[in-house]
Amino acid sequence: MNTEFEIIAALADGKEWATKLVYESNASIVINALKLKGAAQEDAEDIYQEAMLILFNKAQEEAFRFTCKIGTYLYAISNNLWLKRFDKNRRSPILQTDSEQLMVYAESALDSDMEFFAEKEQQFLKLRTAMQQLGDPCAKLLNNFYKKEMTMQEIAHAFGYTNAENAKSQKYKCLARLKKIYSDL
Amino acid sequence: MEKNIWEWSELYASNELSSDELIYLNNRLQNDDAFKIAFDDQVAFISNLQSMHKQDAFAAQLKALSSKKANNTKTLSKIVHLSINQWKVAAMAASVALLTSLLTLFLVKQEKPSKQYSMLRREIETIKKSQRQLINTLQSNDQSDLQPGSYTGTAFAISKEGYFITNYHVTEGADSLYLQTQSGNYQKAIVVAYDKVSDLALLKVLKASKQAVDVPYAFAKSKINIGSSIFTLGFPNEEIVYKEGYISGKNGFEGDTMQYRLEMMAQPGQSGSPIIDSKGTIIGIIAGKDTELDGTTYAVSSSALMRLIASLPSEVHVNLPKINKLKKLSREEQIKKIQACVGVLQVYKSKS
Repeated sequence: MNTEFEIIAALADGKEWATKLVYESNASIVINALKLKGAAQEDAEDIYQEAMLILFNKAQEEAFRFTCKIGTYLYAISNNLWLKRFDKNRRSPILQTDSEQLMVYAESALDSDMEFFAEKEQQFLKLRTAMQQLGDPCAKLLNNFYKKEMTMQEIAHAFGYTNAENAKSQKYKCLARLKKIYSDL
Repeated sequence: MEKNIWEWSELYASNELSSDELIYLNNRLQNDDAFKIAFDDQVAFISNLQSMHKQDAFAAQLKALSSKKANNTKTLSKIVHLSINQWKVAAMAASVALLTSLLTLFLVKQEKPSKQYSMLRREIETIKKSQRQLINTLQSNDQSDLQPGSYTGTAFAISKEGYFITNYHVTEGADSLYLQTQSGNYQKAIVVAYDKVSDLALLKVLKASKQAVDVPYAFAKSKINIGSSIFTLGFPNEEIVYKEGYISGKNGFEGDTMQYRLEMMAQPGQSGSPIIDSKGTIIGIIAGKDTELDGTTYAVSSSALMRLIASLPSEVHVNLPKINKLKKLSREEQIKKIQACVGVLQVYKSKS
């Protein structure tokens, strides 16, 4: 049996079993709670997925892993997302039964987690645009290294460089170009 | 220790330096300020790149776990607001609301397969299809994640603070939006709010240019009469194009009261173009055309725009211009003033 700490650490590390475990053990509780508040199934599922992404992001901070109550956090974040995004015009008071669950995570802390996530996403979006403008073969080379996690040896072979050293210096040139495009965006 | 600075940055960001190398690196960082500045910058950049790929991998795991089926039929009909710092959610929220009325009617038809209904469905399909056709599809070229400017639409300024309006269907599912106005400015824009039902999206350009846009027109508060002559300026291709016509119906497709029916040719890329009356008042926004009836175009009325603006949360201030500066001008002079406010919107979409 894994402790919450081990699970969240594995999730932060991208281990699929941990993602699956966390996803499946909290999905029905959170989605049903959102539906009780008036969310449609579809919206509730989307919010839950986004809450998982925010959890993943937050779990990159080691300090958070020690204190995290995974289920409560997902519940609180999902609730906050729902209130902020889909329930904006209703302004109905939060149901009393929530307060106990939500107290563990202050709304302001949840807000800042959401903002942090949004900022990250914005940077990623910019990076993707930069990658797009970078074009091949550089984009392909960087993707092979960072996304597909190929070794420099494999990349040298795939791109026809004489050796890994040459491929490496090409990779750094590509990185420098990407960074230039990124900062000019 | 002959590593170039990028190599140092990368090994450091990936935690792959030996303790000897770390000592050497620390030493150098303390003694070489120029090196330190570049190094910190590059480490941050590489970490960002790494965490993007990590998050993408995680998102792919999530996607696989989702029980969501494509044939869900619910529709999100209320106006959804997105605050500036949550703007990225635009793309996500758009995919939340990805459910088309087409699908709904499909199911309805199965329950009640009357001839009348299948007619209606065909028409709905037609208009849905034609709305897509009004988006200028550019060819995608390679296997990378983003298509360069997947397509274009038109957007126009509605206030001097850098707010623009276009159609929701133009921005739907977009990863990023870039607006190019006549002055040649190429600006990143975000979706601030949208109304899926009336098919409007409110955009804001991120870096408003130094000189505020002078928005010369005002907006009609109620619908104008059948027969009124109108014109539009939009981007069916790279250059701005002028077209004119008249209002042929008070309501739009399928009696949609939020729309007008127009007798005017429209082409792909003109989605989101302003419809202007002879006095220079904005009365609507082009949304789609009828593929069966040549020259019949549908436009969202300006009152739907007013409704969207009125429902914005208090932290978003959009001050629609109240004075119409075009009233007494000739058509040529009107166009000259309006075209500075109309831009081509490039929509980048990732392949899904």
